[in-house]
Amino acid sequence: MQKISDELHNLSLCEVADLIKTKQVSAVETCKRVSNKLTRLIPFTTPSYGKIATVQWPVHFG
Amino acid sequence: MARALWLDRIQSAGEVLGSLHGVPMAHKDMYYRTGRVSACGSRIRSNEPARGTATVLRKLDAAGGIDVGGLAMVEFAMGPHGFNAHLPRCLNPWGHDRVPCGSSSGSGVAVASRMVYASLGSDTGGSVRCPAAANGIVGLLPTNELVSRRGTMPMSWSLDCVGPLTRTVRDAARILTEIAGPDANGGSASINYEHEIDGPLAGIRVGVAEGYFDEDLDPDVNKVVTGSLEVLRQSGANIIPVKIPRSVSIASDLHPLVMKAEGSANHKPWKRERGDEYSAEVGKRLEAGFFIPASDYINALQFRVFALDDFLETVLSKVDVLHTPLLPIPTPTLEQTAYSSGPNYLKMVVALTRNTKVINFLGLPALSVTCGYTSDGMPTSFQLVGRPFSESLLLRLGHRYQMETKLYREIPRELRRTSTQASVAAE
Repeated sequence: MQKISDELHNLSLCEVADLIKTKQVSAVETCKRVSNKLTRLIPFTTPSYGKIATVQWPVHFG
Repeated sequence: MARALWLDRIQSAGEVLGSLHGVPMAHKDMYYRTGRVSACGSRIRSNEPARGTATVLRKLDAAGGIDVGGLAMVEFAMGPHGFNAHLPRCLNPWGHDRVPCGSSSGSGVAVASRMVYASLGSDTGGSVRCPAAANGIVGLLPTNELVSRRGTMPMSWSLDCVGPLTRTVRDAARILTEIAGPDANGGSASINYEHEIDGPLAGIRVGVAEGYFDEDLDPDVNKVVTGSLEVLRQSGANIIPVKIPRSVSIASDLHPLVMKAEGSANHKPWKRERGDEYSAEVGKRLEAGFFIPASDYINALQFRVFALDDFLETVLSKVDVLHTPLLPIPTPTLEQTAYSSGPNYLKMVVALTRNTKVINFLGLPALSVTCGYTSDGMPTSFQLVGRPFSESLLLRLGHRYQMETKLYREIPRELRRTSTQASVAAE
């Protein structure tokens, strides 16, 4: 189990999805591994919160 | 984390939502989710929560995916090298002195850096495939309109496509299975792309471009990309040279006209009222769109129909798939793509999307797969282009290539260096 956890972030999406499906690793554990990296590498992300919208913006409708 | 806890809880009770149950992903910061800000890499949208949720996010939610946040991108998706004046540098994990490419720069970096397992980008002229190539991962441009764009930021109404960036082709097939199909805020694909991925390659005709795609090609890139053909040949595919029609070169000239005209139309009110909030680079690009006559724009749209017919008849009737280099040059350095570098800057920008934008213009599907490394150690990719809705075939070829070479298991250079430093520090 520890080995799987250590290598978790190097697995592909299908591999990790199969591990979760077969309960060899949990969704929480997987997210923890990812969030550790997100914390260290935060410049890659933009914040996802803010104030109320005031401007109408065009959006794709299909 | 709340969603992960909930997903674990319902799984314990025997319920699994779908093929992405519990998998963390993050997407280019232009996929709207009700109440969340998607800044689109801009200052203008940095404080505006969305009023609806994109159909593709609804579909990924329904399949059990976890959306951990928005990823860096080029301002309003307008630029191929990845730089955004409003955000910190997005670093290429294969070389911090190299561009990550864009405009889905954060998506390419996040997936290659093992931060998330997949990411949605958007591709108007190469913005999924170029960052995929520069960061050593897989990028898929689906057939125009195969995947709903409802609830996403528009850049160019007729060219924009939603596509996944992943580490493996199988991962891309799984994501496409979940997001493809009619909109209706939840319709699903009638094809399971992942189930079709293991089919044989025997008899498949893979075309090697003679003309356009082999022009202005760096010899180092050419050597690596040509080498990938041998793997496909040994797997059973027939490699056939095919002449590229002149209409492709015209399409290459007309693509920026359509993109800029449509982009400028989107931004017209804000350019007038909030023009100083755009970066100089993106602001100038949008201004260029205001001077395109409507007649030129309409003629360019009409030419797309002819160009597609011509390409299908002269190329994709002779071969099943066209194989081309993705980036015709090695991944540029940050210095090479500095906006201040004058004519060289423009030359670099044009080179980055030379082989990708024409495919958007034609509306065809394309798959980018890493096939080796140039002499500077940076990854480079080939591109497979097919007939409309031939994603299954592209994915089958790409998957077989990855199974034969296992290049997708390579860990990026800067990550290896970081983990080595961490190990030394721990000792």
